[in-house]
Amino acid sequence: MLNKSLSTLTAAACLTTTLCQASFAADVPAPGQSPRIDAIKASGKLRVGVLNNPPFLVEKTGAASGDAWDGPGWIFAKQVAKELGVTVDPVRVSNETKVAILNSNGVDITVTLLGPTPERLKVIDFVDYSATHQCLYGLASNPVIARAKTVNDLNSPDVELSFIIGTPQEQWLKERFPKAKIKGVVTSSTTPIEEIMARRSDAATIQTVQVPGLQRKVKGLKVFPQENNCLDSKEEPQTVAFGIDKNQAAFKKYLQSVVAEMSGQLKSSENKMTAEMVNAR
Amino acid sequence: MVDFMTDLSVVYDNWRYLGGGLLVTVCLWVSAVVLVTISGILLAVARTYGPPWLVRIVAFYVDTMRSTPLLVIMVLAYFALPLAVGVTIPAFPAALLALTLEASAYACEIARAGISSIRAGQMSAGLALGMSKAQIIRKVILPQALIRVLPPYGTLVAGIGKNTAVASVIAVPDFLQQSTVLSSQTFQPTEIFTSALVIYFILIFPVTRMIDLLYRKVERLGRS
Repeated sequence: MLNKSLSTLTAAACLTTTLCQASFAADVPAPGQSPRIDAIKASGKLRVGVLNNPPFLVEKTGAASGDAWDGPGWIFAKQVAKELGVTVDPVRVSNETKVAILNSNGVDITVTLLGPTPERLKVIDFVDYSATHQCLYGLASNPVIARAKTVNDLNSPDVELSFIIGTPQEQWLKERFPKAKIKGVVTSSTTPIEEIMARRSDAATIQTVQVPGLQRKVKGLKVFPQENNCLDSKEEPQTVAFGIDKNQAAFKKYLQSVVAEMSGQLKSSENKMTAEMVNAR
Repeated sequence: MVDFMTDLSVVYDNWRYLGGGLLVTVCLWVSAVVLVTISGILLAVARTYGPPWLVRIVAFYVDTMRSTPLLVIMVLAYFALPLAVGVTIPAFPAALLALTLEASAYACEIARAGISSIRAGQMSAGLALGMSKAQIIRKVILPQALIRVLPPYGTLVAGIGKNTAVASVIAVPDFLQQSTVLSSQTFQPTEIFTSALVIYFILIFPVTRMIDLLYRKVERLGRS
C-alpha cells in the first residue's frame, strides 16, 4: 500500500515536472519568428557577454573546477541555453565593450550588470530582472567626508565625486550634486575604489548590495546614507537588466518570459551571492 | 587610515586564475613578436629594395601605424571590422592583429636602419660574383643588418610585452584583465597591481637582458 502510494506520488511529481518543463519550453519562439534564436540554434552556442559584477554575475577566481561563473546572470544564461538546446559560450567583455559588443554581434546577450541610460537605450534593448540603489563612500579620514553627515552634505563645491564612465550614475550625480565636482573614470572594476584610495576623489558611487563586501575588505570607509550602513538607501533606484541588440522583439519577449518564470531563482541567487560577498575572507 | 600592502594572500589564493591570465599574456606576446619580426623584415626589404609603388605603400603604412595609438587600432579591429565587413573576430585574434599591425611598422624601420647601414659595395660585390639580388639580401645583407639592430629590437620586444596589457580593454583575459577582475572582487587594488608590476618585470626583464647578451656575443659578426 505504501509502495503504491509512493509510486503514485513519484509519477505525479515526474508528470508535473515534465509538464512544467514543457510549458517552460513552449515559450521558445517557433523557427522563423526570431532570427536571433534561429542563429543561436544553428551555431549550437549561446554567446553571453560576461564581466565580473557581484552579486549579479560573479567570476569564481579561486575555483579549480566547475563553472567559472555564478550568480543570477549565469543561471539565467544556462536556463536559456538549456531551453534552446545549445551550450553557453561565455565571451569576456569590459565596461567599455559590454554595450558595443551587442551591436557588433560579438554576443547574443550581455548578462553582466547593465542599467538603462538614455544613450544606451538608443542602441540596445534591456530585459529587466532586478533593481538596486546607489550609495556613496569615501575615506573616513578625509576631512571633507568626516564633516559630512548626510548625502546632501556631499553637494558642495569642495567635494569631488567619481563614477564609472558610461554608467547610469553619471546622470544621477550631475543632477543630484550640481555643486560638487564630478569626475568620470574608465575601469573594469565595479566601483572606482582606486580613486578613493589614491585620494584623487573624495567619494565614489557603489551599488547598495556591494557595500557590505567593500567594507569587509577595505577598512576606514564612511558610507552615505549612513542609516543602516546605506543598506536602506533609496538614492537613484537603478534597474538591473540583461542587454540585447536592438530590433529583436521576439527574442526580447522570449527572454522576458524566461525572467518572469525564473524571478524567484534569480532573486535567491542574488541573495546568495550577496551573502557570499559579506562572508568572504 | 587605509592599510597598504597588508594582505598578499589575495594573490596566493587566486594563483590559478592569475596564472591563466599570465599564460594568455605570454601567448599573445610570443605570437606578436614572431609575427612582428617576420613582417618587419619583409616590410624593410620591400621598402629598401622594392619598386617605387611598393615603397610608397609601405611608407604610408609605416607612417600611419606610427601615428595611431595602439588602443585605437585594437578597438577598430574588434568593433569596426565586424560592422564594416561582417566578420566577427574574437578578442585574442583582434588583439594579436592590432599588436602586429602597430609594432610591425616600428620593426620595419628598425630593420631598414640596419639594412641601410650596410655599405652599398657589398651589394655590388655580390652582383659581380654572379649572385642574385635575393641571394645577396638573404645571405649577405640581412645577417649583418639584423645583428646590428639587436639593441633596438630588444626594446621593441619589451614594448610589445608591455603593450599586451592594452588588450584588457577589449576583454582579452590576459594578466592585467584578470588582475582587474580580482581587484574589483576583493577591493585590494594595491596588493594586486603591485604584484602585477613585479610579475611583468620578472617576465620582461630577462628577455631584454638575453637579447643584450646575445648582441654582445655576435656583435663582431655584424661589422663589415
